[in-house]
Parts: sequence; C-alpha cells; structure tokens
Amino acid sequence: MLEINNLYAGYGKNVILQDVSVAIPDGKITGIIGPNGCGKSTLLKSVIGLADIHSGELLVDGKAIHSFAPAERAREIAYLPQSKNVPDMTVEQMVLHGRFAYLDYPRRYGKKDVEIARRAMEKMELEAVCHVNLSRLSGGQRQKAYIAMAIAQEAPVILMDEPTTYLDIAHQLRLCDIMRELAAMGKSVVAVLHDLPLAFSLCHSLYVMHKGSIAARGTPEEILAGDAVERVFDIEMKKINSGEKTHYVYSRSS
Amino acid sequence: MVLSAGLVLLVASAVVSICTGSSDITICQLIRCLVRPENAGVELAVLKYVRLPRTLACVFAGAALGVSGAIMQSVLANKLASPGIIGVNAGAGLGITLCCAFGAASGFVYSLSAFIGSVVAVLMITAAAYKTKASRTTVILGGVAVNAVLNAFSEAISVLNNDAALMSVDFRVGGFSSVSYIKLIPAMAIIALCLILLMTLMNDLEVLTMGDETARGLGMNVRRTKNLLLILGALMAGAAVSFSGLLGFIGLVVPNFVRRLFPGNAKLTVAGSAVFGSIFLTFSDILARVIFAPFELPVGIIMAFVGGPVFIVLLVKGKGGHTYA
Repeated sequence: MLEINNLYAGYGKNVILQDVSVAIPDGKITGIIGPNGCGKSTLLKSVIGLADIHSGELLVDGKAIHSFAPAERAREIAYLPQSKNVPDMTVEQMVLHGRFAYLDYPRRYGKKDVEIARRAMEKMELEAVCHVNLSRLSGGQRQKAYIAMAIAQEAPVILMDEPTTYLDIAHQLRLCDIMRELAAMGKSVVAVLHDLPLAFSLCHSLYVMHKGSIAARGTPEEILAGDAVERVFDIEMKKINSGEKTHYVYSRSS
Repeated sequence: MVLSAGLVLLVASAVVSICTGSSDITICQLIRCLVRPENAGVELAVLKYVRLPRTLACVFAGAALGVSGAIMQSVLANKLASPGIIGVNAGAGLGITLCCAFGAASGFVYSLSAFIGSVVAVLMITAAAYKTKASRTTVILGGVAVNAVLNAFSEAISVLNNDAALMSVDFRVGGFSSVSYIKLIPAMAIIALCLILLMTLMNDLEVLTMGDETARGLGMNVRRTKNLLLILGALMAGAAVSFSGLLGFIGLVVPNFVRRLFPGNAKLTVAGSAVFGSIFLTFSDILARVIFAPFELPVGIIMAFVGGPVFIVLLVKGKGGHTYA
C-alpha cells in the first residue's frame, strides 16, 4: 500500500507536482496517464527520492518513506526508470544487481540471490541470453532484462515508467500478463503509460494527470464516464464490446 | 587467463627491472644475494637501496594510476577521465611548487606536500560537486576549471621564484631517479589500503554504471558511493604521484586498453588496470634507463613515446564495439 498525500515536489525551486494525492492498493495495477510534461515521471521519481519534496506525505504501509535509507526504500519499492543506460555487463550480472539492496558491506551475492535472479530471468524468458552482454541485445530484450532485475528486487511496490517502450506488440502483451501476475502475488504495480487503450484494458484503476495535478481518478469505467480524458488529451475515447472482448478506441475530438 | 598471463609478465618485468641499470646484475647474482645475503657485497647494496625501491615504485605507481583511471572513467562515465581530471596532478604540482618556493626540499616533505596538494584539490572539486548535486559532466568541467586555476598559481610562483621553477621541473615530467624508501613506504601503504577497499566496492561500481536513476532505484546512495570511489581513486593517484611525479598518461591509456581485454567485466577491468599499469610503467622505466645509458630519460617521456602510438593502433584496430548511451 503506497499512499501519497498533498504532495508538492519538483527539481530544485521548480515545483512540478501540486497537491497530488494518490492511494495505490496492494494486489492491483494502477495506471498513470496524462500528456507529456504533466508530471507523471516526476511523481514516480519523488517516491524513489530522485525529486525534491517541498511538502506532503509519502507513506508505504503507513511508514514515512523519507525516513528510509536508500537500501530500505529499495526493499519496499522497485523502480524501472524511463531512460536507461546500456550497461556493459551480462544479463545475469545485471539481474543479480536487483538484489543489491539486500546486501551489507562487503557486498557479495549469495546462493539465494543467484536463485532469485535465475527465477526472475525465467519469468522474463531470458535464460537463452543470460550470459550475453547487454550491449549486444535488442532494445526489447534489454527492457526485459531491466524488468527481470526489478522482479529480482522482490519489493512489494513496483513502479514502472513506460515499461512497454521498445517492446513489440507480442512482448507488450506478455508484459501485461506479467504485471497481472505480479499484482496477483499481492504487489502494488504502478505504471506510467502512454498507450491509452492498453492502460484502460490493463489497469484496475487510473489516475489522469494534467499540469502537475490529478485531473481525475477511478476505475477505467469511471474515467470513461467522466470527461477528463477528453479534456486533457483533446480526444474522444470509446469502449467497444465485440463478443467477449472489450476494446478501447480513441479519435480526435470533433 | 589473460590476467594470470599479465601477472607472469609483471613478475618478469620486475625481475628485469631489478637487474638492469648502470651496473648489470645477472639472475645468478640476484638469486645468490637472496639466498646468502651475508656473502653478497656491493650487489646487495645496489639491490637494496637502488633497484628494489625503484622497481617497487614502478609497480605501485603503475597499479595505482591504472586503477585510479579505471575508477574515474567508470564513475564519471567518461572514457577521457583520468586522475588528472579531478585535480590530482594540478594539486600535486602546486604542492611541490609551494614546497620548493619555501625552500623545503627534503624527500619526505617534498612527497608529503605533493600528496596533500592533490588530496586538497580533489576534495575541493568533489565537495563542490556534492553540494551543488552536480552531474558527471559538471564534475569534469569543474575539474578542468580548478585545474586551470591551480596550474596558474603554480606558473605564477615559478615565474616569481626561480628556485621553485628549477626544482619542480623533474617532478612535472615524472620519473623515478630519486626514489627512496622514506618517500615510498607511506605511499605504498596508502595505495595498498585503497586497493583493498576498492576491491570490496566492485559491485557498487558496476551498479553505478547502470546510471544514477537505476542505481538509486536499486537502493544505492548514489552521491555518497560516487564520492567514496572518487576519493579512494584520488588518494591512490595522489600517493603514486607523490613519489613518481606527474605521470598523467598512464591513468588514461591503461584502463582503456584493459577494457578491451575484458569487455563487460568491471571487476576484471579494475584488476587488469592494476596489473597492466604496473607492467607498462616498469617496462617504460627499464627503457628509460637503458636507451641512452649512462644518461637517463624521464619515464614520462618514454611512456608517451611508446604508449601513444600503441594506443592509436589499438583504437584503429578495435573499432569500438561497445556503445554507451
């Protein structure tokens, strides 16, 4: 359970988030949508300690996050940033670094860490490339390796900033399954998403952000019933039922 | 594999270094000295007070500067980084110039002032970066600026005080002709200690190369780790420079060369930089003593002559192969 109350945050004196309150329940996928520059990434970054917090509360299971040391925080919250390096190491080494927060000085990975990393790689179907250097992999496989690393971190809250970037459509759907699995395991999964149809069909609840504030919150149904998406993106969004399946489509506002 | 071959090569070059000089000592004589020190005469004295400290100086300075360069390049995510970039050389140079200007030129004081100069310069740059939360590029640019200021001070003192200018020339070129135990032993202790500490921080270094945001997400205190690594690297380089003079080239070239030997392995790159830095410096120093014997060239000049072309060949042949986004 991740709770953010009346958060004002940004970088230095530049305040980007204004009075943002969010409650992320366990076992659910929460999507954050909104136009470019609305503060979605800043919201995730302020949770992980990468943005400056001016006022407001950030709580994990009722405990204030700012009192945590970085390693304690990482045991509670895993974070997959939007912009990532191409590390010069093998997939296995990188996934193993997901265990970093569990190590004391001098940091040596143990049998248990290796086993957890192996399972994370299995989940992301990376066994075949586990000894390959990341600089030799495609963008999609690299993204999968990053997600495996976040899984190996075994934190109850997982924040993903545009996790579907670089993934082809089959891998996007596979990632959605994995996010559902993680939620089914009781984790709070938070994802910043640009693909609205994907966000609507995947997430249990959605936050629509606009200019640093929350414009609307609710289940996809509730968001669709309101006018927030129309207002913020200047589009029309519709739900189409065909047989068992539900599709979400959008078009430019007329 | 490559690393153990490197170690063998290192031992070989150290033995050659011990045996080479204005009076050559054969391997037989060397072994005899080691087995029966009481029977050895002049050779033992030469070994003990000239060759051994000189070889130790080469090995330790080479390892320290190589590793320091590897750390700087990883932490600052820039292959052009070297100990010099965060003020080690400029600080040491100013320390020496000041020391000479005030007339204190005994071996130990001389080394100590170089070491203090470099450490102060590095602390200034890292503290400023820490305070302002500067990015890696800003650290490098700030280092360039501080280097310019420190060098300007050194130049100004040298112009106003001729003694300082004359006496600090040897130090600026770098070389081992005046190495003695009193300079060497404290510096060697610092280098060894830093090396041991660094070897326990290799996982941290690797996580750091994934970028600040990822490292933070994994639970690292990024700024503290970066500064710790930079300061350990700078201490080593400062200790090395305090007895070897300003050998800048080695910290830049050796890690770049070693990285090609061990792609994708930060730990081996650091260990390899120690071994190959030692080999490079020891070998260059042997050449420096032999080429124009009985005259001796400063080792810094030899390193640039040998290392420069070799490195260019490597760059042309290697074609990169790795991209850093």
